[in-house]
Amino acid sequence: MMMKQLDILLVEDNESDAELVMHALKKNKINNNIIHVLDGAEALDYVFAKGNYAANTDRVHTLKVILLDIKMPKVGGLEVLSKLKADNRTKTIPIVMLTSSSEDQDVEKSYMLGANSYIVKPVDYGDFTDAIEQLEKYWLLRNRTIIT
Amino acid sequence: MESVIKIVHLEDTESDAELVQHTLRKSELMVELLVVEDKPSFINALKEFNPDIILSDHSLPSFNSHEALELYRELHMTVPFILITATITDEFASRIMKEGACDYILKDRMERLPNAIVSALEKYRAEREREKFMNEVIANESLMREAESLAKFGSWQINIPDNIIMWSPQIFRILGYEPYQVQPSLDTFIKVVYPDDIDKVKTSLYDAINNYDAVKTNFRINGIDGAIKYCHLEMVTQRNAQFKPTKIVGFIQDVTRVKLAENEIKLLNESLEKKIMERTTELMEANRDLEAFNFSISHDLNNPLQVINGFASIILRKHNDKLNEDAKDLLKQIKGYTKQMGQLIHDLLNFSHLGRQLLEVNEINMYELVTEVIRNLENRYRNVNTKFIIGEIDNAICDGGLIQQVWVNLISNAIKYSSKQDMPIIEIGSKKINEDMIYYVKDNGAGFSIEHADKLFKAFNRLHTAQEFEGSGVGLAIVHRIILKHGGRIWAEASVGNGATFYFTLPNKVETKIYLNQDKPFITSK
Repeated sequence: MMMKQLDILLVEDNESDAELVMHALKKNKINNNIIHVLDGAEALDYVFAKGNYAANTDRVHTLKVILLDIKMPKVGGLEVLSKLKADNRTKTIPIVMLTSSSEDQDVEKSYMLGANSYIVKPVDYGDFTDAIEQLEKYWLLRNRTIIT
Repeated sequence: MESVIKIVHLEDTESDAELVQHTLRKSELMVELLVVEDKPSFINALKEFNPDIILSDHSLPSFNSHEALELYRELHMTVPFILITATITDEFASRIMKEGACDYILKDRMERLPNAIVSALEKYRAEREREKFMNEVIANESLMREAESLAKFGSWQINIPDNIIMWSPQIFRILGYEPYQVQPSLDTFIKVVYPDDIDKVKTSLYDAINNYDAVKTNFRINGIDGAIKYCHLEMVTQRNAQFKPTKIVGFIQDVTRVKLAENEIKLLNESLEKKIMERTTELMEANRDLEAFNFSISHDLNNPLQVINGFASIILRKHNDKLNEDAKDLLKQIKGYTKQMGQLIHDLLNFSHLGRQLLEVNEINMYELVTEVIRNLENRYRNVNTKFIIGEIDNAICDGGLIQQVWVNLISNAIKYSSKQDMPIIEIGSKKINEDMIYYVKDNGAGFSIEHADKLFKAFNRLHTAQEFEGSGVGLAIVHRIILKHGGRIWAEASVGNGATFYFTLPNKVETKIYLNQDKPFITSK
């Protein structure tokens, strides 16, 4: 029997950043399926199965958590956040803001828009992997969502 | 009468002279009597004797009372002249009175003389006083006119029943006329009032007549040269028992110079306010730019550091077996430096945040705050065995969050710089010196040379190398900024090898300050 895949959507425009996150996620050997999209527009397309992802219906129901960068070209993280939290189909998906910015106003805006968590990526990779590990264990294993 | 009355008596008949003498002696008057018989001695007496009163017989051989009175007038005598005569007709009496005599005495009624002298003297004295008073009045009046002219202030009055209007010369000048050039009237007045103000002036006059006893208003006058004069008008109404106005008296003052000066001040204030607004806007824009810049730094500088650090870590982990010790060491150094730079960016942002942060002031239990800070720091510096000696620490009125940062920075510095001692000791406490409560953190660590103390509180200035003690050089700058923001002072005492002591004060109450980029003023303590 195949273990059920736990989908993580990583929205990150920077390939290197994404690679670091994925490295850290894989290190913990939790059976997950990481989908990486490069900007906010693509993230919305993916979640709502539009554009390039029109064929993938019902992706929404397998997403266990979305890791969302704030500063991205075209559609920024805060806009993606507000659109997902405003839509009944997606508002219950946990969204973790994963960013390098520790600006208070970003933190505040994110929570106002309904973010479930806000993580400032530590510069030190050891701390970074610790943070990702905690995040992964919490949101993928500990936290209960309404995914059936 | 108390004083001696000097009398000149013109008389050539010895018996008559004696009669007068006798009468005066009998009276209570004290007199000095000089009897003269002819014209030359009479003139002499008037000039030299300086009499208070003149008595004169009517007819002398060479001289009569008319001539005597003529002389009296020529010499501008201002003393009473009393004629003494045997008989008198009404016609003669009225003639000599016209010629300047004050009174006459019939020889057979000589007993009347003392009283006549007293009343004549009294009459003349009263007259002189009246004259003196009148002279003063005239002098005062001219002073008043001068004052009016200087103060550009004119008075006027209207007698209501007969509608007679009187203006002082200055009123004419204020209204743009030469004194008495025109007949004072309401029309000549209204004619020069600035058109927009005519209704206002008329209403005031109407009020003065019908409604109020004192009315004031301001109005403008169309000057002859086209310039506008600003005037202040005040008036007081006198009324009879039926409340009917009988007289209105008032003044008009030309306040143009005052008004122009006021306008100038107003304009200056306005331009000043405008300048302040412009500067404020500029500063707010600069602040917004700074915020955008901070955001940029926060994200754009941190991000590459994470990647560099992350990749170096991955290489070290995944390809560890392929690396020699030198390569591993270099990669570790890369990691170390990126971490250091990350800390620096963090501190720098923290420092720039402070400038914009609002103070929230409460009474803070400093002892609790310090012990909590030490507990947290002891967790962080587990490998350092520092002994803390905590004395009394007085409460303070301050922003608890910011002052916590002060304690964290000062105490962690103390831990850091004393960490190489065999027995690191840190003393913390407060003491009152004069009016100030002084808080201090004293360590027995490396210390520093006091000649570099001026660099101590400046950002990025360090007194030790990163190899000796790590640090970004922002910690004390943050402390300095927080203390200054509270209106306190901070300073240090130290010498190389003998530890350092940092002192700071906080004022008892923090003054209200308004920070440009915040829309509410700073909160004062309860």
